[in-house]
Amino acid sequence: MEELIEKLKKEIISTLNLTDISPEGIDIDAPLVGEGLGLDSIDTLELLVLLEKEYGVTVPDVNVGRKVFSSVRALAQYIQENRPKD
Amino acid sequence: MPYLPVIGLGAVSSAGYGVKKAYAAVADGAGCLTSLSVFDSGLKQVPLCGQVPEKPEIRLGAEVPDATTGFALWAAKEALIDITDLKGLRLGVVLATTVAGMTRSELFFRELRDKPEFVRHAGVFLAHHEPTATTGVVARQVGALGFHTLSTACSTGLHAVGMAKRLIEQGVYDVCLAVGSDALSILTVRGFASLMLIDFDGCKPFDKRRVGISLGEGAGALLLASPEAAAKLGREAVGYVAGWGASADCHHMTAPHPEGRGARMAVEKALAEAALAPSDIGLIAAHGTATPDNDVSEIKAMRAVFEKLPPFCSMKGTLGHTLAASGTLEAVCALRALRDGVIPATAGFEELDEAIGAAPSGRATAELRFVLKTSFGFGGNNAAVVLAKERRL
Amino acid sequence: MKYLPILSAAMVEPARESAWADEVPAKMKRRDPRIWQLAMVAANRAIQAASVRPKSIVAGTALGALDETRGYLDGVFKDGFGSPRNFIASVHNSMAGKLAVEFGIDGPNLTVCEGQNSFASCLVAASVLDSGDFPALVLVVDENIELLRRIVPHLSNQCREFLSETWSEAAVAFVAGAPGPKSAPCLAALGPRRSEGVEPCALCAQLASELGLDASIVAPLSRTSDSFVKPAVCACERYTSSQKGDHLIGSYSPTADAAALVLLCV
Repeated sequence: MEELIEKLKKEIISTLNLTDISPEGIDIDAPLVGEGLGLDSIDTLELLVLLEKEYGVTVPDVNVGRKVFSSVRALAQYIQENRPKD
Repeated sequence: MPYLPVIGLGAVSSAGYGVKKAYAAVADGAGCLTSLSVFDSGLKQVPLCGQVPEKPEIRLGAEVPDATTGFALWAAKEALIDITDLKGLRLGVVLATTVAGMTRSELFFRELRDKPEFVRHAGVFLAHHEPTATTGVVARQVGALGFHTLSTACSTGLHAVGMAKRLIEQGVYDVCLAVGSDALSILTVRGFASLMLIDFDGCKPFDKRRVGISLGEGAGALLLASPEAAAKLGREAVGYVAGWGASADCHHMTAPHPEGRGARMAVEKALAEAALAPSDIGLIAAHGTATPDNDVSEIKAMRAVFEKLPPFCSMKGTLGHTLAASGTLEAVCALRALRDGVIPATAGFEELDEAIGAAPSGRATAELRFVLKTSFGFGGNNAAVVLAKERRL
Repeated sequence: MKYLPILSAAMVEPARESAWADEVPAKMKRRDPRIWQLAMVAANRAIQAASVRPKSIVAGTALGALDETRGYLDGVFKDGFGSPRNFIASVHNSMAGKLAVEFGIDGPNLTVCEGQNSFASCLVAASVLDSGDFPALVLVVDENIELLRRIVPHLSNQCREFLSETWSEAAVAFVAGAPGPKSAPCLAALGPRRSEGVEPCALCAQLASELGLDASIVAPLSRTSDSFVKPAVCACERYTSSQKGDHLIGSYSPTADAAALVLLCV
């Protein structure tokens, strides 16, 4: 789980071009959208692409999406629970 | 300002070629959305789209640089039908498009990605990439003097109508075509899918179960003329453009303002130019894209303008969302509905959404004198046009 | 003829100002397309200089955010995943939409795509707006990206005559007042006009005489039209350096086969 969180942080930074933030600078329990990392709704769409591309995971609707993007930890948990078992 | 005559109409749509087919389908709320087959979009699930059933080059009997240009050309020619001699009148074209020659350019980019040497073919593939090239072709073929090319996504068609009206009123042209055209493309199909705005099973405007749009393609053309020009050409008006309003939401790039603030402003401006009260409007030919956000904020905006919400419809369940063509194509159908006193059905609608608190009226007949057509686009761009049955109040 | 009074003008030319991006708001720098950032800086400079908030926006671009479009398609064709942000950038008017959001401009918002004739076409579009929609922000922007430099040598001879490989990229913004009679400083435009086989320079001369002006003062097309933004850059330079008089700036789009004329009175 820790490994996944570290990997996720780096991927979020690179996908969203967060050039002024380092992985250590991300609070894994802070909200992603609005406050916290201050992402917008288009950023969340980019993260949805990342989820599907890297982890084969999709988000069925907006309500699940809100929970998934509530923090990096929540995101990691969702991936862990839903990624296809190889 | 007296209302400006519309003396010609043209349409290419999911219902086929011609105004007659488009209007008949829209009036009945016919199901014209089909499984996307013009190209392989690469999506796992194939969306239902408003595809034009025949290639434009077949109907035109001539090669076209791309489908967008082909649709525009066919619709323009239908609007100009029987006008073989402009009699010295100055004809302009205002063309609205999002995609233009992209259907060809995207093939170039696909090849270029793997094969850098493919750049050799740039001249052939990209010659018509620019939107202005599409307008240039149409202008040349109809013998226009000058032209303009607008690109504001979903709202462009109505802006083209408004601009054509103003250019005639200012004396820049005597007659002016407002034509909107967009072909389905990998860019737009994949693009809207990546924004999670597509309903793969067919859009449900204003419906409780709506989840997104169905893309469509086609073109709509309106030939506007000064009254003197109309008389010189011996053409009766098929309707009138009474007013145009434009505004911006200043809110978000892909979602409308939740209160529909900008939408309200655009409608109020159009009504003001038409010198009408909201109660004069007999039908709203709504934008009605069937996204969760648009439909609710659109009706909210209309409630802020109209004390009593008039009957409304969405044509997108039949035509699909034809992007820049939608304003003109739907205005063409609205003018026919106005002529016949018909309130078109809304294909795809079944269940009332309490959050909207109103349902499209369903096919009906009514005394119609004025119709409001609205288009609310990408980037919070809003357009509204008031169409009239008669020249003046 | 509609003459638009000039309240201010500003330009960003990356080739001449390596630090232009310092003026881009931090949040925009991160994810927004470079072409939006260029437009933002030019718009901001012009709005600051005019000291009025515009009420409408008329933007012009020949190619829009082409790098982002290509990036979007690359993503789709490579592994089936295109970036949503790149798609949004590919819709030409989203740039003007962004400016509306950033500056709180809620009036008419038009985007014109007319190739080398974009500046002229923008001015004509602006002149159809209601007087209540002014001041208007009139802005033209196009980039010179690596992709284009690779492509241009393979375009037709005619295209290359009007799009040199060393062409300037720039964002040029004017804040214009409501149309009125001719009174310096002001801008007006005619066209785009179909060439109908008439040579571009001759067509511009024709347009000039329609304006009642001496055709011989038309700036030679090859100097004003060898890039998409050159006509606007030319107008901005002459305005800011207070070169008094009537300046006729011609433009020609080979892909549309149409010419246009901008009149700048200083």
